[in-house]
Amino acid sequence: MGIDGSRTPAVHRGARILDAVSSGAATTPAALIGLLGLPKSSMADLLSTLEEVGFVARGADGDLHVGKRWSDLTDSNALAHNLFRACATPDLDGHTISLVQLFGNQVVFVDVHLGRLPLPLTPRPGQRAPAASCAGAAAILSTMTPEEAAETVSAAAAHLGLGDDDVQRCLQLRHPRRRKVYESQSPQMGRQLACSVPGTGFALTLHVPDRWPEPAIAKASRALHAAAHDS
Amino acid sequence: MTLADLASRTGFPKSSVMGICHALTHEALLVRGVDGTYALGSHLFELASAARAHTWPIHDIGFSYPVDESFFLAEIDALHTEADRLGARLHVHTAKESTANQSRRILEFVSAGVDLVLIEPVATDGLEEACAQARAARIPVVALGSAVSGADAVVATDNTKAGFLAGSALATALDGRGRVAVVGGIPITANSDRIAGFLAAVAPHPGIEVVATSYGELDAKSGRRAAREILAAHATVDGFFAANDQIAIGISGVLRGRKLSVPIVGVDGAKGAIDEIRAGGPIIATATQDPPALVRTAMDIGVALHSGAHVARRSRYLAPRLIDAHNVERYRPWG
Repeated sequence: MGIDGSRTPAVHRGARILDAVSSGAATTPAALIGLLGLPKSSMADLLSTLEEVGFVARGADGDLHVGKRWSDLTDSNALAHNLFRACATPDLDGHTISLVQLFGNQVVFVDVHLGRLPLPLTPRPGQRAPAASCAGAAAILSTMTPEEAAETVSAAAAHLGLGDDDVQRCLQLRHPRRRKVYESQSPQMGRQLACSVPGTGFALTLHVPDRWPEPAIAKASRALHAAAHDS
Repeated sequence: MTLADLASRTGFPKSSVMGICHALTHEALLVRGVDGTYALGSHLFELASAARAHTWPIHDIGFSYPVDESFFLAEIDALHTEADRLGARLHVHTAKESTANQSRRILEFVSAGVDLVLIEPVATDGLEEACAQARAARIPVVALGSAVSGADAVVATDNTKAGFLAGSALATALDGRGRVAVVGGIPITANSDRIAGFLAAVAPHPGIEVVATSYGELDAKSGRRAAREILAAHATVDGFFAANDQIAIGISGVLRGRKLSVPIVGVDGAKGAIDEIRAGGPIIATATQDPPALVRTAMDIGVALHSGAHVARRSRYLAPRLIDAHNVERYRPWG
């Protein structure tokens, strides 16, 4: 179904505007009109609404950009900024670091700070991956009591269609004794180190490049732990 | 969250909520579970990441500059304006013409966790280690006024063009004939570019001979010293090119003291040079720099780099203008 055939064309048009603004393809109303072919009055109405609800904002130069409301929806306490800044240390230089949360038996990448070092698989914001293949899941679950962990995993069980076995398998990722850093290795997600961010339900994950020397990994691991706890 | 929950929360008819959720799911802004509930979709996280990158706040800006000279003070004024606009704190530090001081201060900025470092360099080389430390801490370093080895970006005047404009003005004033002296500045690319531009402008005039080359610094005193040395070695000098207006003002003082009517051209567009152009010399022309525009451009690039955005052009060179007796009344100097 195209935009015109939709029952809610404004949603799709708004999404096209957001795509254009977030990618930088068009950052002014005139450029958006040229790109999307919408009438000037429709564009003005859509932009007005998007600005009003904080989905689009204007910079000091008048250019449009994606509004802060989006980041509030995924990170209401604005933790990502401080956490990624805390990762700005020489031992983590060049590394890809992600902020993840648990959703049932899956991990959701809330945001990703891309590094320069090549990875077998580069995570993207919004991507989901099996909890078993992500160190962040063990890091998050292991900071919880067994009851809290069960409640957290079960909260999305119906949405994901998880059975009791699925929930139990996920809960087995929880370590009874807490560690500073949790590690995982899987063909799907490569090697990861993760530390929980206390009191948040998030974990910071370091995505380890192939053939990275172990002493450097050990240093990065310590730096990751410090970042997760110092931010 | 179910459709019924959403309808209850929003007060919209359930059929409308269903249509909107269907569209949002189609756009991957929501995802529908097997039980009909909705959760945040992958595209929403992408937009959130883009928003976060754009609104990455800048709290602290560090600026190191060579010495308390009017040009740098004008840049500091402009930086205060930009910092106020961003709601950021500005930390300024004079390196007192020492590369070691400047390097040390950059490292201190890094240790203090500033969000952005701007450098008016004392020298092009010698700051590599400090810049590497800043990069490791993911703090962008933007060179202002002249390139710096190791910086992430540079914003400067098109200094080759500035030297060319000044050289053309001197060649015209000398009617294509004469013995000229070149007084360069501190060892930064801006000054070597200005000299290269000047030499390119006089090259087509075989009657113009460069008889002396000397170097000044960032003040009039160094210009006076250079002028005295040149005039001691060369009985006849018909014109001077100065790498900056402070040097030109120093040369002018020596020439006036000796009642010599010799034209001088410089670079900066500083108030002292403009006053002399208005008064009829000895400074007859200056190629302008625009400190507020340099600072604004550097801040734009620095903010973008800080947010993790891709910056396609990391070297920006702003065009200078030649100010001489013909247009001096319309020019407002920055100093």
